Amino acid sequence: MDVNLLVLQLLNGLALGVLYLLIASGLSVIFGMTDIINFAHGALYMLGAYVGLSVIDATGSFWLALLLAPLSIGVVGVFLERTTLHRIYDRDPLYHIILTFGLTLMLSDAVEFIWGKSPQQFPGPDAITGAVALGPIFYPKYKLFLIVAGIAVAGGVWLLFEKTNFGLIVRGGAQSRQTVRIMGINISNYFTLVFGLAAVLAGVAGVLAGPFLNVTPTMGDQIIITAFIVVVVGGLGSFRGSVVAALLIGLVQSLGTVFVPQLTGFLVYLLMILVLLVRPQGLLGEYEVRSDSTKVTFSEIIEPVSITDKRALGLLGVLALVPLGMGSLYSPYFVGLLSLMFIWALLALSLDMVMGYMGLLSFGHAAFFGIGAYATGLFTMHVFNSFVAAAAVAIVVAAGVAWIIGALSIRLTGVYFAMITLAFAQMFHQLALTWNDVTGGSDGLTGMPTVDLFGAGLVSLGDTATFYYFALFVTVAAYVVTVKLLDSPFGRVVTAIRESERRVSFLGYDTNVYKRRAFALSGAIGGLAGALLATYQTFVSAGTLHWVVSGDVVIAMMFGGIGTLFGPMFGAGLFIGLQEILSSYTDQWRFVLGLLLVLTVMVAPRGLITVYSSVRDAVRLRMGSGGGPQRDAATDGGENR
Amino acid sequence: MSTILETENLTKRFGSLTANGDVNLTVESGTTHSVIGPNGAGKSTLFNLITGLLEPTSGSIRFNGEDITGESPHEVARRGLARSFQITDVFDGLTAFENVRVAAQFADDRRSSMWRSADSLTDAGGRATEILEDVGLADRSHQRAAEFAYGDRRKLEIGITMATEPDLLMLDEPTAGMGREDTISTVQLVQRLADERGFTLMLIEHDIEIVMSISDTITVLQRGEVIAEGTPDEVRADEEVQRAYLGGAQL
Amino acid sequence: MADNDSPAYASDRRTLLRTIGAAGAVGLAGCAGDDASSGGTTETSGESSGETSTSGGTTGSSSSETVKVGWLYPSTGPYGGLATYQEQGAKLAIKRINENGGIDGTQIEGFHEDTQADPQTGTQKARKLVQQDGVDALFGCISSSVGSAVAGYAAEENVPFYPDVAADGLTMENCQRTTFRYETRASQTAAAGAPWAVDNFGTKVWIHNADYLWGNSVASAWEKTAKDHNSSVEVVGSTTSELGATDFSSYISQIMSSDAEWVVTGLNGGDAVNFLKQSNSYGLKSEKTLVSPVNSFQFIRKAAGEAAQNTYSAIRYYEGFESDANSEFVQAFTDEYASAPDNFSHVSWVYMYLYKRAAEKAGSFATDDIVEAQTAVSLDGPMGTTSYRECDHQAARPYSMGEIVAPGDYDWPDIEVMTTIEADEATVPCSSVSCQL
Ligand SMILES: Nc1ncnc2c1ncn2[C@@H]1O[C@H](COP(=O)(O)OP(=O)(O)O)[C@@H](O)[C@H]1O
Ligand SMILES: [Mg+2]
Repeated sequence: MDVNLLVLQLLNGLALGVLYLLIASGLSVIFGMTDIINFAHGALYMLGAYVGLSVIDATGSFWLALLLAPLSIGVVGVFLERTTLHRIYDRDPLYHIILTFGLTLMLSDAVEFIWGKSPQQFPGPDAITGAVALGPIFYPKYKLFLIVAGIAVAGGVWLLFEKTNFGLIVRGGAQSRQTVRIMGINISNYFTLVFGLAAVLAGVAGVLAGPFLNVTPTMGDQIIITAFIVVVVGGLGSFRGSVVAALLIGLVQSLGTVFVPQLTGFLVYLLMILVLLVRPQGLLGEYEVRSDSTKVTFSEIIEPVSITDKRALGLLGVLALVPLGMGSLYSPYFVGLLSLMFIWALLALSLDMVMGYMGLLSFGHAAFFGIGAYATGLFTMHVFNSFVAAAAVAIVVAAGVAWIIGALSIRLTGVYFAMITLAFAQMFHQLALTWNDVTGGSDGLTGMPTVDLFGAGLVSLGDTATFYYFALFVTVAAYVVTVKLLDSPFGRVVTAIRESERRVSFLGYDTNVYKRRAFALSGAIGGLAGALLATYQTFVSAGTLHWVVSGDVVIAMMFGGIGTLFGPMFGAGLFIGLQEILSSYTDQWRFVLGLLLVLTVMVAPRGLITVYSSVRDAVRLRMGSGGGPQRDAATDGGENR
Repeated sequence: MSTILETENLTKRFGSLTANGDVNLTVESGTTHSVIGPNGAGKSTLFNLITGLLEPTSGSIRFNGEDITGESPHEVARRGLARSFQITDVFDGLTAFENVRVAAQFADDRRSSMWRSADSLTDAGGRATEILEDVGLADRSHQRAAEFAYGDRRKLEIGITMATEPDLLMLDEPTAGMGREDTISTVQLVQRLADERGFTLMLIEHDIEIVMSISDTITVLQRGEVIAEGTPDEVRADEEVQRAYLGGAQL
Repeated sequence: MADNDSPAYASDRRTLLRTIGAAGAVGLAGCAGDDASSGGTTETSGESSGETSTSGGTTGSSSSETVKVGWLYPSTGPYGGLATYQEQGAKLAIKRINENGGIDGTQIEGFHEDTQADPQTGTQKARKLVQQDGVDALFGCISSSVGSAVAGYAAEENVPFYPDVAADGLTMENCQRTTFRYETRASQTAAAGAPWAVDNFGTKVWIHNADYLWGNSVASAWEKTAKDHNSSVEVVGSTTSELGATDFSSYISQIMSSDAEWVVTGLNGGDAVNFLKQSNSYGLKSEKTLVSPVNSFQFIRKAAGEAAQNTYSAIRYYEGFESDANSEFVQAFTDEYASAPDNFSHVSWVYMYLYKRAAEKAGSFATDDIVEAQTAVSLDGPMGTTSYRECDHQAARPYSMGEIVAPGDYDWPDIEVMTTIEADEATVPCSSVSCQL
């Protein structure tokens, strides 16, 4: 192979790695200190680029932008931390994820509102435009500058953490909050500082990326996922690990596109899966994640509402009447939208089973949804147009895939489990995008027939009302079965695993068997939801498999009320319905949605189903203390394995 | 009397640190066997090795005459070995009743049935109620474990471990952090239950007086090694123990 | 044409159609001279509008006094920037047509939805437009995957669909009775650009495209057209990036190290801008000639700025194109939005007028009537005369190839036209299109 090309690619990989590093290092220090997975970091990066742009517009100086923009992002970061996260540090990390996700929605929407949707030109510094000759090759001066500047910033951060008092306290806090507290230091102020510092880093990354990449409101969306991967591969909370992983991933990506172009979209995820399977703590993970840091815990037990409960029957009664008003009171679209809400409710049900009941943070449920949808599409197109048969296949395939993913990932818990399921789902997404002959690639699976229920041409699911009743029936049936399942001896063990897997295994239960089985069952329900989706849409797109879908279900689940089965279903339906309706009325629907999420997390930690009681309590106490679980159990290295 | 547990040259190294070095230990059936030693002596590590939480670097473990070295925790548990942890490990989000019931459920063949209600396993429910009475939590059986005070959570954990009907119950500092009175009542409770239910008891306990008064056999660990083993009197008389562990003070 | 505002007329669609239909052709032609009522688009149907009245039976699904049209824009997502132009063009056309008497007196009511560039959301929005808002026709999209999903849905619902999508399939293997495309097919711009590029830049070409429907269409169309033109054309390398990729360094490096003489990129939107900017910083332009089917888009020229200069692009539309219809369109657009229109504004605009022409000819908004009438009308649009073919419902217009040069009339780079081919030449004959309608 051409040596020049190799050198170019090495430099490219290095530059990419440095950019990842700048973003990942912020994530990493926040995580190390507070256990928080800050989704909003990507949005802060994006905001940094935009603020930088405005500074350049006003002053014409890139260097001024590089100074002022990060500082203002730091201020924004401190503000966000103080007004939101700071008040809910004692909650489970899941809530932090949802909160920061809500903030992301709000920030991106605000940027879109202020600066517009179009990509913007970000002029680089005059002194370093164009290419410079490095022997026989030419290389952009700006990228060389990016490499040097990135390394300098990262070095500065390293010095700050290793050589200063501030760093000492922060690192101490990362190891044990207790110790630092005993030293008489108000650790929570340091949380704010660290968050601000990370925001500054995001701002620096934004400005540095500006002249090179497009400045768009979505520029943070993809890079944040890569940054998460960097942090996990490097070792959560390990700064050195992030450095190594960022450069490694940059190089893998840039060399991969040349040597194995067909694997381009898979490589990073493959790498992460490999690392997680072989060395779950990451390449340079120095300490284990506090075992309680990723637990799903509840401050009260809310039993699923029985289907024979008056309220449930009432709701079903109303829902059963809905199609009667079609055409007169509202359009078929409304009835269709409700069907879609049922489908999402089913997906949320499937997720709540593993997440709310078993405590496994699955960020890859899109895989089952999408696999179910593709299986149904392909089956009805090529084999036999029968929903019953197609759904059976979809369920079996989705459950099988879930079982395998479960079996491979079962050793992992918490964030690690979240990341590996995300990676698997993304692999399926890539597969759907690239396997053109079967999946139709990015075009999606078109040409699906209107699906018939049995295949005998008796009941067409293309009819809006028929499909509605059918989807309602399936959703309710799945709910009833799931409630029963979780009340069974098996279900009770699963619930106990959420509380303490170790404790369960010391009772004699082989927890892996239960986890695999529950995961497969959940996958089956997800596959069923996918089958309904394909039938509803009569086409399937790769977007069904995208991580955003997984993220949406998690959010919808939290929104409604995790660990109650009906709450997540309610939340998912509402989430989809709200999105749909809001987006028809305002361009700023993301902002509204984000705000709703943030408020829900802040005010009603157990989701919408508790809004009423939470607000009432809050009013009574004249403040929302949250009542989150205690997470301050002392840690003991020998005992926490 | 028969031997229920036996370790042979059991060794665990963490890097250069030898947490357990050639530990040879014999626990007789039906006795109360205590393990003592200063902090960091390797007591918890020993428990972790025996119960399969940690894999030994070398050496072997026999339980009821069978080699269980390298078995995973649930396999060891199935053989009739239950344990508590130095840091209480109960199902915080579940009611006290459910905590014990899940443990009791294991004895039922239908323990992983998916199609009937768990409440239909009446045996397990009955035993859970019984045990909660035994450990004195019956009146609060429908409260979540997270709401319990420290001492009650420890009792609950003991209840959970007992619900599996073990042959050998290993408690890692069951009274750590308790006041004197609580400590005594807890230990007495455990011993009474051991008598009634006929399981062998293995304890890590800090309160030397209590250890001396309740134990049949005491093993003394120091820096991962057994420096003495015997009856309370023998251990009390052991010079090395006095020197190393008790700082020469008279027991 | 004050008559049109009379509620008495508006209340009876049939009477209205008959009256206006007769007066329409004359009236509109007359108006065109003294004000901008025709909106820069002169209608050239030679047929007597009087005929319309006889066929104007049913009035389709809409029973009110307005005709409802549904527009889909990828307002959020990677094409957000293009969507703005698209939406502006559509809204301006609707406003103009309404101000000038609507479609034979029927006012147009526009419904506008955001597809988020996602086919699922897109179809869901199409569903809403059709089922809830009761629109009589669907327009827009941009993203090819959304377009093909919506095309399927529109066919199922029997609603005419006017996609602003360039991937070939939509009017080729996946053509539908209800799909009418004025937007350029990828192979049409290839016909304009590839032979000329081979003649001027050489036979060694590198093809890079985003790995999705349209990107792949571009790659195969350019390769085929170039090779058909000159059998010694050699594709020395081809690479693909993900849609929405931000870093093109690796591809640029590969291209630089190759002996390709020119590069054609199947990249659009933000991808195209990124590629241009990054190529510029590597100095790729000075080594290889950059050719694109879409970089002439105003949006891309604006965002890439200097980086786009001295590269070549096929031209679907540009604001400087000289035609009466275009000057009027640009004028109207500039008056409304204080900036010049882009290709997507122009496509939206043309679509509304094409639809108007068909509805007037059919005297009805019913899908079957529109479908029948649509291929029978033509329009003098900003880029020339255009009409739909019967066989595949693809419209054509003359296409050009140009160089992007330093700014002229506007702040952003201008275009210098190098060559133009006629609509016929640019479009594969019906006989070799797999679709037969
Ligand atoms: N998982 C582990 N990794 C590394 N060192 C450990 C681990 N578990 C225990 N140790 C070390 O082994 C030694 C013995 O610990 P432990 O068995 O907990 O002591 P004890 O219970 O007697 O206080 C201590 O020095 C402790 O730090
Ligand atoms: Mg210990």
